[in-house]
Amino acid sequence: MTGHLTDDQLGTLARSGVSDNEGERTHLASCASCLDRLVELERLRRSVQATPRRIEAPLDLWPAIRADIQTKVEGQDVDRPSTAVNSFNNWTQRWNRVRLAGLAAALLLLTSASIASFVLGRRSGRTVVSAAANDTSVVTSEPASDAEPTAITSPDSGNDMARTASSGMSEVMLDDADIHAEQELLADLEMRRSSLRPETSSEIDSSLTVINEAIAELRAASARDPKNATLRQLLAASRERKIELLRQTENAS
Amino acid sequence: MSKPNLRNYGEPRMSVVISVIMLAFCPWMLATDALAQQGTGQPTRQSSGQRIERRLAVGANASVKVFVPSGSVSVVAWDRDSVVVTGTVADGETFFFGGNRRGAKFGVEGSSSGESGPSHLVIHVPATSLVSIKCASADINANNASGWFYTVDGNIRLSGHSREVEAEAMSGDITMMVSTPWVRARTGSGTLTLGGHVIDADASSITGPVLISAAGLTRGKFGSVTGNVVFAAALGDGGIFDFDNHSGVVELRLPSATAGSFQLTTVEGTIDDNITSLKPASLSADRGQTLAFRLGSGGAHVTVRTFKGTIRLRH
Repeated sequence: MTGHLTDDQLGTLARSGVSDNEGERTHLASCASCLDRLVELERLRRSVQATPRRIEAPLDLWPAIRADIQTKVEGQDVDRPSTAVNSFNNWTQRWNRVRLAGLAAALLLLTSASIASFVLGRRSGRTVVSAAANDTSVVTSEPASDAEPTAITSPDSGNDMARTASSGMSEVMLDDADIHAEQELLADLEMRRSSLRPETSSEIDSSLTVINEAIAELRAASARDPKNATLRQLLAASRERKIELLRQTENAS
Repeated sequence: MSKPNLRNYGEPRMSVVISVIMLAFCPWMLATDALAQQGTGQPTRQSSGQRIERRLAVGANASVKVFVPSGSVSVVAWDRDSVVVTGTVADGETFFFGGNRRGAKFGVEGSSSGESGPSHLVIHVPATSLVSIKCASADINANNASGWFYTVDGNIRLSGHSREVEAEAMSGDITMMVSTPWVRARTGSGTLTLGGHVIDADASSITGPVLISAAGLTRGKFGSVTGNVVFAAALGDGGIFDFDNHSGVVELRLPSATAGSFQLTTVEGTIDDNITSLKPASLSADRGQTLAFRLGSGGAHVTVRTFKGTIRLRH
């Protein structure tokens, strides 16, 4: 074997752990670069596997929903006149409870599915604007005069703080999934490379170079200042842009 | 004096005879071809290098998928429940067409050599249909059409009213002058221009400039890696706007009556502010600035982040 192992070969090796190909084994034994890439891929695979496949909705939501339903149903009971059709009313009441319980279960399921799809999917094309505007590391602005506009000297509400916290958490949770998606998309791109027009291939490469350089700069800055939320957000945006570009290339061949 | 060549007098007569025969058979040939192409809804193939025309009755909400590698595609939405395709197909390439009431799928298949010649299609679709148009180097023009538009290095120009629009180009430009509730647009090195009337927009590029002047915006996510982002529009009351850029400029040209809270941060760049009289604070001793302020009461919530690109504020 003369050249390095392809991403596809390394990906297969990382998944299976063994190779039937004598050439691949020989090459790996003598090529530190390919071995490093394989080790990195295996590490990524393990970390992706370690992420939860699904996220359960909090179980403690149900008692509150049930209590709420119970309260409402009992409120209806008080208003209901005691008549000869009590048996029918009881049956209706039971049916209503079943319906409400069903509705609550459906809501719970929807919530669970939404959380799971948000965390694991992150592929929606719709605009999701992060309102996590306030960077906790931001130094306050210095007003030069007393006139309007007013300077905001600190994160102005607990709500904003909560939004910042939640976006940060999502970023951490999405990190490994993004790496995995990126690796797969890059491998796909290489497989489709021969079917691309040369100018398209060149355009993709130059765009990827620009994004990779930006990511490298942001990573280096983030390493120097790991608590800087703006850097983390910019890094996340650049990586998202890279994944979007790679997805775009799927239609280019 | 030379004798006239008598054979030359005979040839025109033969040509006339052949032409008459062909003219007599031509309508019949065209009619049988048209009958073969219509009615069945089965995919059909057309020899290339000639004008094409296809019609298909579809439902109002039909999906219309189109593939044209090179040339141009013009989409016009109309108030009829049918898809009509006219135009020319490049020499050596084939036109395929198929579909039923639920949708139509058609396009141009390139030659075996790999290089595609320019084909030019004009497509009429029901106004409430959803189109999906994919091109390599072809330009796309669409009026009143909704759906997904993709080209690698062609240009995309969208206008009129749409339910929703998604457009992607790599090196081509995207120009949207649409009235729509929702837009998503991506370019690589091409220029992305968003005008018209849009409520929710998500637009970004890699190196190309992003220019936003749409009215009615209440949600906006705009960004680039190295391209400049220029926002010259009103911020919808209660809206949320998010801008990010790595090294390109983010310029906000805001109307004088703008209200909202602003959080601007550049890690290594500068803030050039001609709107407020506030002095940005430094992030560190030698680089980076941040500025947080409010204009008026209520209004929009605006966040701008860049790594080393300048943030500009202008009226």
